[in-house]
Amino acid sequence: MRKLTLTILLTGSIYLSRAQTTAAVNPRPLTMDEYSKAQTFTIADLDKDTYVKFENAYVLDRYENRKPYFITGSDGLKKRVDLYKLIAKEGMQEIGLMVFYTNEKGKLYKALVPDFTADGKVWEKYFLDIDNINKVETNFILKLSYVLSKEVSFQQYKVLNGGKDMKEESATYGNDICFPGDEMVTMANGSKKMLSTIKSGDEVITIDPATNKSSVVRVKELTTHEAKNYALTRLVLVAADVKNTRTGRLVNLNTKVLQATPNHPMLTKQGSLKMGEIATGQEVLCLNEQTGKYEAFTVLQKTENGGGIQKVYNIVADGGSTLLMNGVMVMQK
Amino acid sequence: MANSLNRRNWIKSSALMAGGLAFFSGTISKLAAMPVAKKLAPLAKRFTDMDAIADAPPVLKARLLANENPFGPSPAAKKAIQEAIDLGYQYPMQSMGVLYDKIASYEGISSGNVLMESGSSPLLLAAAMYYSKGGKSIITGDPSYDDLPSHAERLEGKWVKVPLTADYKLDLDAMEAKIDANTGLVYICNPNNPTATILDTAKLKAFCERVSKKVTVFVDEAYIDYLPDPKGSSMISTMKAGSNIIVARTFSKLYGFAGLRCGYIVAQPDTIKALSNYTTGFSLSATTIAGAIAGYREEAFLKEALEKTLASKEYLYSVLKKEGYEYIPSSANFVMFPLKMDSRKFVSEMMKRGVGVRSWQFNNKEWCRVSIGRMDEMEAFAEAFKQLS
Repeated sequence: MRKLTLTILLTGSIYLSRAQTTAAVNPRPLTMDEYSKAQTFTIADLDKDTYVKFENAYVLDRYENRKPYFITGSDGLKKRVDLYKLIAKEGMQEIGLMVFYTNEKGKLYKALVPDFTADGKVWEKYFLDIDNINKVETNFILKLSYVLSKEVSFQQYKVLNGGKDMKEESATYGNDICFPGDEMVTMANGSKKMLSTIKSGDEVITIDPATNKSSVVRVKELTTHEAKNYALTRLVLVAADVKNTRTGRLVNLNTKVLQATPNHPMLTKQGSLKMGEIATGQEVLCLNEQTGKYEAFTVLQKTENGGGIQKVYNIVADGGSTLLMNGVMVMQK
Repeated sequence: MANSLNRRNWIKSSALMAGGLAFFSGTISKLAAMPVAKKLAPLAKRFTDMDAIADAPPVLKARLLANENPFGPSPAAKKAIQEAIDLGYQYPMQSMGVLYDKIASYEGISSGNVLMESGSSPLLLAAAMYYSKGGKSIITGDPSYDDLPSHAERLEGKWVKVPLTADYKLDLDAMEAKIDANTGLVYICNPNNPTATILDTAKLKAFCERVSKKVTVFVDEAYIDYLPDPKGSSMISTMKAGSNIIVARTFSKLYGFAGLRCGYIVAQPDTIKALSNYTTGFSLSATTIAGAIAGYREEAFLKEALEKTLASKEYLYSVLKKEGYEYIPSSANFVMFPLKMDSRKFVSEMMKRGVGVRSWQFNNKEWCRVSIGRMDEMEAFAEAFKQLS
């Protein structure tokens, strides 16, 4: 069983190494001496140090700027895995992938995945080294295998997508139900205020979905969620009022754009749906500033992307079930 | 294609659109082709230096990311600003006239040749609006300062980018060759940002005289005060001789007014009149005007700021050389040099070490642009750089 795991791991490691070095210029093999020397390299602070030079000849560069993996197995023990690219400064060539594995007692184990062009003997040494660690640190290889498999998968995805910026694909889909801070909230007096500047005590508009009548409620709290790269659903809504007149066709076109996390509830003509579930063509109640009335706007376009690292916000009010955000009726959480 | 078909189906099925189908299919397609997003794109997001500033932490050991001059404003300008506060309740028309006259007198032109705004940015925007009307194109170097052409592209215009020469200077011959019937403006940033290279004055003058007969030439001289002979290198003399060119100047650099915002253009009266339709002409504050009046051509201060900048720049050169890096010789208060690692990674690692710089990618290389700061800031740069170089 262990041999099978090792074989899978080795294959995966080669793939990962190859995927990583595809873009490098003249990748050269990691030598046996370098393999041994790199085992002495340490990172003083795995939480903070993302780029560390050694002997002015090598660099450990945090792989993809990734946060560490924390893996808890069926034994309930929490392990931490940090990945760093080993770079030879001469020509800035990526010659390996350093793995820092910290167990629940704080004991650190290091493994160095050689680059694809490394000699078979270096690969053999790596194979033996991780097997030896596995003898003293139970399930080390299993957990290493999981982490490397996940990263092989990521590299494969990246290659398939032409190496494009992965920020959007790595958006956070969490439980936070909220809006970006620059959405505009309709206040009691009809003015608009940026969501991030809303304070408790502010008076905002709520609409009764049954009657389309608006009333005023007071903000109890503006909930702020920590800055992450939240996935955001973006709806472009449009309403068109067309009249045939004697001189021609008179068109009043009104558009609105709303962004929120995909799980934010919205009331549509088809019932209550999460933002991410709304389809183009569905209708949402909005304030038509041209008529001053609440009218159904149709979803013309819907996109969902990472919005970049930012805080997101939500209003907790002392009444009502809805709010007006960018002129669009949204449900309170 | 699938999307537009779906959209058309939706329009057909939507009761909302009843009666307006034929007209709307075109309108909606255009709308869906991103004008909504384009119009909604926050204006400030296109100012890349501003992005860098906005993304930087509030406290940096060295703020070397926006080509600011940390030695300014001068003590005399600061004193004048403080004194102007008392009359801050008054509109500053009179003092504005004084500043216009002061600039006109120094340059030997009429105040009708000058248009001032709060920094050169509103004037670049005005030029972008005016010269890109009807889909006209703006010809620029690549890379060069992109404020004006990016405004134009966001509006109606097109942006024609001409690669720099092998020594990273604007390629005047290639730019001239790109001029056609649709060209609205040729934009020259001299010294060029971000490369800090300078054009030969005689060649640029000849270019301006020749080309401006066909199309307006906009020469942005934001960094001209860093040259040994700013007046001799300026194209204002060419404008005075009758050429249809616009010269932009700013107090944001050697004068140290980046936060106070004061800039102007010098051009033929007809051009000033045309562009003033796209500005308020009244965006400067009384305090800034007072500071600018006190600081304008304050030679002793300007000389000292320049000397300190040159000393810091020499130190930077020595740091780069010591670490085995090359750089483009600079004629401004910033230096561009090629990196040996991913430039975004470099900027992020420098930022972690309290040093703000900016990155570029061009000519298949990764680049860093570092602004010249105080000596303690350059030492902070050196310390952080050694950890990464």
